[in-house]
Amino acid sequence: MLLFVSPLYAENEATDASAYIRMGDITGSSNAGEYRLNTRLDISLSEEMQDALRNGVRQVYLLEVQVRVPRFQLYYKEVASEKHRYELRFHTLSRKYLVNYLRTQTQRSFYTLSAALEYMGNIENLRVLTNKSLRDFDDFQVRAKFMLDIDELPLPLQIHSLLNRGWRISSKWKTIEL
Amino acid sequence: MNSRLLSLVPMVMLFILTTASLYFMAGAAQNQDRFEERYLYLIYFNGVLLALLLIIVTWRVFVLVRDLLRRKTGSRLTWRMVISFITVALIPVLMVFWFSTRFLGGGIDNWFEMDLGQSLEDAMELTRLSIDFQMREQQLQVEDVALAINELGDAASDVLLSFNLENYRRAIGAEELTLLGRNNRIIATSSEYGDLDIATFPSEDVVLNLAQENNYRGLEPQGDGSMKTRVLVRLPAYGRLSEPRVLVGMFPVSNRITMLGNQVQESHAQLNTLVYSRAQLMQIFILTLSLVLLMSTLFAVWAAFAVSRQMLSPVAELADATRAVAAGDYQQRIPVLQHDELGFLVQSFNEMTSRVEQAQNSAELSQRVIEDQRSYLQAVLSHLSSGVLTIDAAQNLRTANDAANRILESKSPLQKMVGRPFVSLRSNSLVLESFIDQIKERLQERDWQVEIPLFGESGRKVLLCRAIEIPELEDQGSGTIIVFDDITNMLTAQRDAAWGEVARRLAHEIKNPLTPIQLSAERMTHKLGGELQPTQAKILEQSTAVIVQQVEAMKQMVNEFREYASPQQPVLELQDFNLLVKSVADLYQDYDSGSIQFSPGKNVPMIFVDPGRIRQVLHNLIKNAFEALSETSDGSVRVTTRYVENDQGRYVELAVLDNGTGIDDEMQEKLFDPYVTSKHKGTGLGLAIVKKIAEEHSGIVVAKNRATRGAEILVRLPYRKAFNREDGVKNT
Repeated sequence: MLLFVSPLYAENEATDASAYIRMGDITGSSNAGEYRLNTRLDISLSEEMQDALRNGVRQVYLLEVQVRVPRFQLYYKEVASEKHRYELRFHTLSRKYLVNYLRTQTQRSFYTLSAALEYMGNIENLRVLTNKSLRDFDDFQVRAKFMLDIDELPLPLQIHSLLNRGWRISSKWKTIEL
Repeated sequence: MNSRLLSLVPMVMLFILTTASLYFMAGAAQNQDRFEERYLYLIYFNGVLLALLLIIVTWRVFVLVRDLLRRKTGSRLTWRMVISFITVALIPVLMVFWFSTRFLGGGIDNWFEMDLGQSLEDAMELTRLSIDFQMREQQLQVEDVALAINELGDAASDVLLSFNLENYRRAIGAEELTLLGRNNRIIATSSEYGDLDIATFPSEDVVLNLAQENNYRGLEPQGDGSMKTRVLVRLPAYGRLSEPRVLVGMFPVSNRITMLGNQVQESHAQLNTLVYSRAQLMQIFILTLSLVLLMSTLFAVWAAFAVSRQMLSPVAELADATRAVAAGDYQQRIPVLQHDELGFLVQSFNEMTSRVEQAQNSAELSQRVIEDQRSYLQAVLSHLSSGVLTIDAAQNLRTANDAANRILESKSPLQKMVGRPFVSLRSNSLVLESFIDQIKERLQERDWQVEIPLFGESGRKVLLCRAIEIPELEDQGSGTIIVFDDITNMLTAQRDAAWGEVARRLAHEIKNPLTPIQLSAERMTHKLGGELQPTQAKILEQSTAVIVQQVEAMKQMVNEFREYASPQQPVLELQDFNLLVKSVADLYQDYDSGSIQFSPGKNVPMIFVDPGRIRQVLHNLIKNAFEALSETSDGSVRVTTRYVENDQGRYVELAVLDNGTGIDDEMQEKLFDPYVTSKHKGTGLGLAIVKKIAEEHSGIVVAKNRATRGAEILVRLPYRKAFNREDGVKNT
């Protein structure tokens, strides 16, 4: 089966190497049951992904935050998690890149992609774990990961990304003790 | 429904499942709205089905290859059918696949080459121009406001600025008008909604842009779908202390234009996405098609296995059954499950095996009957006291019975020599050699009967031999049956009986008158002796003396004859034969007629003989020899013994030789008959007695002329290691 499909992918291989998401250290604060996160993300998209963006393909990025309680040895139990979505798209009419924090529908527009990525990667005082009661746990750990949500891509690209690692970009988990 | 059809159920179910899944997948690929989310699951599901099929087919192929290597029945046919199925299925499927991909490639590219993209692009540009026209107006208005603020001077208070900004904002119809200082410090602001939105502050790249040009205008789409325009104008600076100031104006875009712009934007994005992802779309179609191709091929292979098993199972059963029949199992029956040509073949096979079984059974029965008859005949033959030999037309031995072995004294059983030329059996025993020599000339004749005298290991014997030609048989040709009986004892008994009768009559007829004759003569002498003159008396005395003498002689003759004629069993004792001969020969050392010489043979063993009878033989022979020397001046008698052991048997031979006149030719044949003599003296019974005694010892006597001068008489006595009185004469 791959025999018939693989040639279509070959041309994309070379550009995939430049796509990555790197997450800097996370700092956080809690005040009266309100938790806030700060981190900086270094996001780089491959030519193919940029091309897709310019061709109207919207990309949704996920900041996944998990709260874990240590159980025994290296095993942790996940007690709470939430996802923050950021939509990145190109607005042809205004010729601008838009970054929309979907939770609050806060949208900013940028002339350059790098500015848009810079804005998206600058996470400051992000309110997390709202409506989650963490008082019951004496010792818990928060970790976060930032990645491209493949499921939000159009179907052809979803299948394409199944077979193409270049699209599956994600940072590593970063942990913070709150 | 039989088990074969039941076994197809999982296959059919899997087929339906796969077809349905592929159908949905194809639908999903075509209609993104309906199945978009399910498409991935369908791919996974089809992947699982594919793996399942692949496992099944791989297992089938593995089993088939294993069967091929083991040369299992039907495996080669199955292999051929599977290959044919794959070829038949794969070629059209591959062609459809190839044409489909070509069509898809060309088709998709054609769809997107339409003018739709350009139209949207134009619409987009139109909207952009329309908004830009508005924005340019707004920019001029904001620039006017900026000039007015500038005229207020650097020292104008914030309150005054705010007041003026409110007025200006209302005048130019802006939503928001803000004067920013260094680092986005708000110097004064006026907003239609009262509070300030975070979006008021221009983004860094806009600020950067402003550094190069003194103003900025741009459309800014909002998160809620609305659109705003932003206009930035730099205010010129006053003096050293003044900071750079920027007037920011935010204007709403009319709902109508927003709606139209959004629609154009949305359509443009959708079309672009589609165009951009056509390569990926192709991949989906090809993936779907490839799945269909693979599934079809695998199903074809699986179906090939199932169908060939269905079709070939009766053939394989037939082949197995045929092999069993070939190995002799005629009870093979195959159940008839189909009502087609194969079923007919199976039925015919069953009928054939049942007939073969019947034929085999009857053949076995006949064979058994023949075997029974053969063994019955064999039993009869082996228990027959007569010897039976059959010889085929080529003079090879065909059968022989136990009695033939016994009578002919064959060393190894004749049954083991069946098939060999009859004449080649000569070397087997002395008796057989003599037997074959005497009948071989007659074997050419049709039916004959003859008495055959033989000398074997157990001595002399006479066989009564009859031969009958057997009719020609289909496979064995003609031949001769030779039946023979050992009639030695019968002949002896007959002769003994005849001579006994003669002796009894002679004794009766001759001996009875002799006594009165003798008594009368003696009485005549006694009565008349005193009354006659001396000369007469002398004559009387001489005459009666002659009468008495002759009567005595006649009495002796009659006694001798009776003795000869009366049957006597020899009393056998183990004797040193040389010593026995020497004791008799010594008696003749001082005989007048000539000299006697005894040459004992070496290795002459102790043998069972009746010593008295053998002494008589010796006396008779030696006397006979000396009598033959009466007309010879330098007559001599030589007596020799020797032990002979060769292939034909073992015997002790006594020879008495003289250098007398020899035996007349006419005497030769009846030399050993009673009352045959060439001499004036004697009873003519001497050699007859010798023959009789020799025969009583199962021996033979042979007389012949010597090569130089005189005669030679040989007596051969069989050598016996032991003697069994009950069996008469028998070697063990």
